[in-house]
Amino acid sequence: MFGLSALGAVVMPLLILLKEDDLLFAAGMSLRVALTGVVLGWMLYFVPGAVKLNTPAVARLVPRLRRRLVEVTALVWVVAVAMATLLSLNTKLPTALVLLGTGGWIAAFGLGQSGSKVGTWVQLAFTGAFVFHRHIPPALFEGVQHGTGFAVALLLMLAFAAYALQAMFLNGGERHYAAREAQILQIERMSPTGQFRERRQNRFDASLYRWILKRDSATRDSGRLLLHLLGARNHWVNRAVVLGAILALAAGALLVLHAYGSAQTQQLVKDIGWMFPLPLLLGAMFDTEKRNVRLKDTAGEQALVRLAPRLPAGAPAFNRKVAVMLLRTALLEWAMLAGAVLCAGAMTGASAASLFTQACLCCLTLPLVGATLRDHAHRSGLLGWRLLLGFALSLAVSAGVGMLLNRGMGLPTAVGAALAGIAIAAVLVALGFRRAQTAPYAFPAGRLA
Amino acid sequence: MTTAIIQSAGLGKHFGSATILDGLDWQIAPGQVVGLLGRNGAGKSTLLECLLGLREPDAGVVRIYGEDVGQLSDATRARIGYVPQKSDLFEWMTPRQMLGYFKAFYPRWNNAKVDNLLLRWGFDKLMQDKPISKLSGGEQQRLSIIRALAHDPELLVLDEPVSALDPVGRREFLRELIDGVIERGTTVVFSTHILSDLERVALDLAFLKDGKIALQGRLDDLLEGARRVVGPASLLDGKRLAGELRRQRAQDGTVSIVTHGGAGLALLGQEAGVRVEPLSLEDLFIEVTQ
Repeated sequence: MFGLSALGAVVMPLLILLKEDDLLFAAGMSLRVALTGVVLGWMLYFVPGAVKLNTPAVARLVPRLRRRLVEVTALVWVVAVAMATLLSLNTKLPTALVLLGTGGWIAAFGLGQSGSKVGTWVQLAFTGAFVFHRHIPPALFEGVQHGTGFAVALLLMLAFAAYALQAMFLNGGERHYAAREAQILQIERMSPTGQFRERRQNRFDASLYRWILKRDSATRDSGRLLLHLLGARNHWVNRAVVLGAILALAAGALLVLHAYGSAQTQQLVKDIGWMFPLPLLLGAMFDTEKRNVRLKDTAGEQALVRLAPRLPAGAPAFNRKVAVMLLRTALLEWAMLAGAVLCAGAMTGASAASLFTQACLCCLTLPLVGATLRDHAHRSGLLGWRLLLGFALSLAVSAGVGMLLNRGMGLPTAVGAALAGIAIAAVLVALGFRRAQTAPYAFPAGRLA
Repeated sequence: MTTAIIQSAGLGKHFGSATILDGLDWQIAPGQVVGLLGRNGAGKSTLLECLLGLREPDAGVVRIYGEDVGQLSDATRARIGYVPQKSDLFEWMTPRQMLGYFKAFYPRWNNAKVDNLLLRWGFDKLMQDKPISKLSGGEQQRLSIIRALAHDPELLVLDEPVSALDPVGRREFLRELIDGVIERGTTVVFSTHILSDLERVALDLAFLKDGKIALQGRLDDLLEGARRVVGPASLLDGKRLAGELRRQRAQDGTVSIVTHGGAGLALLGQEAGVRVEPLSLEDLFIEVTQ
């Protein structure tokens, strides 16, 4: 973060100087980039670390530590706000708004980073104000920039910053213990692995899972039972409910648009609306990573399941069972995502040709199901950049094959690419199963080196 | 001769350059109750995991009920109960759900025993419907033990099963272990650091040191045969005692020798300046594992 900022702080003014001969502007821009880097680093690294360090016991028992954390945090906040304000001088930005905005937003961000919902809501409010600033009465903007209005706004901002500081670094006691879970959850969310950890179930999830588990236990099907290693919220029924809810919301939105939207808007939705649900397909990538993280997190449970009867004995048979379970889940989830995308596309009133193209695009993400078949004796955890790179490569190959088939056989590019996607998925699955046959027993205690 | 339930030969396990198990040979006979002792990091958990096939050894073979541990049949697995050191118990489930889940795997499940243990060990209706993640460490460990006992295993492997239990919980567990498990002739292998518990339960002890079983025998025999001989170096240096386990020279020049089952110590004890002392289990643990 700091390295990138330093690089940006050097490169940016040089680029500006190449274009126009304004040394002051270039220096100002360099300082802005450096300041942004420092503030981002502080918010993304220092604040979570400091909040993690300030446990209820540490806050109460370690002399001066909490005070020092508060002091450093406050100092960085003051310097960042002051610098941002100074750098806004001689620009079109209203200095008072920069002062109030950066002060409030940084405090809200820090508060949000410590797991406080207030911080998240205030950040949302700032985002809303930024997006819809044209709808805010100009008198309000004017009012907070001068005289009493500014003084009141400044006092409010300082009070909020003081509250944020106090809430970020609680001083032990019941409140701190109660907030600790949210703090740890938020800190965990900052890591790539943490994003895919099992979250606490809400009442709906819990009752849904109760039903699923009861049903699976009653069937005594070892494959279905094995699936529960993935946790409560990663069952396909859960996914189906979530997608159903998304589709219901989309249907509601489309109905509103149909009733109140202009003819031009409705035609636009009909023409290109089918493209909007396509990002849903990227869910297949997150699903793969989620399964990887879950299989890493449930190592202890896996040992107990491995010792239970009904699961096949011997590495090849057991690994094949695991592979079938994972592949079935991945395929089902992919099919549900693709189905939801097509359903949403159909709801927009897209033409048959558009829906066909949409179906072809869905097939391009099919190779992701192959990524779920791994050697679960050795490796576990996130695939990370390997998954991204592999997916990008698969897309590129599919597109290339699609174009070649188009030139050679006159097949539409989308169809050719879709066929290539299906072929890549088939190859990956075949390789994955072959690996499962020869790999050591999956889920050993610890993991093989 | 009775066939051993667990047989390991030449068991080896390395973590990087560290040797955890070094060609370990071990046998557990039916009905044996063995307490596995060793210092922290000696490899007790690794040994138990290798014995159950949960960890792949780098060398050697393990057989349970005559079957290769990597190919255990359903019937054999149904005979094994295991309590891991860390109670990873599907923490998103409730105790009731978790027990129902495992019940679906096993051909035999003693519902009456489960209900009885849940009741006796303080799992009221409210607690049975609480997510396992919300239970305390001791409660999770008790649940883990209930899960392992629920299918009436014939071989029970417990890895520090009482480490998170309070004295009341420990006593209740030991009572169940003695009355409900050992009395039925179940073979039990368990590791623990709480030596007083071992003295109440285990009939046999095995000390793990340097990747091998350094000493094994019946508890009474071990305690009866273990002696510490302390005397002047001039007398003990150069004299090799029978059953010698460890020899140490103190700063004052005296030599301390720990022996087990050595004969002729009574005679040596009559020499001037020589003391022959019996050892407690704790002394024996320290002397053997240090």
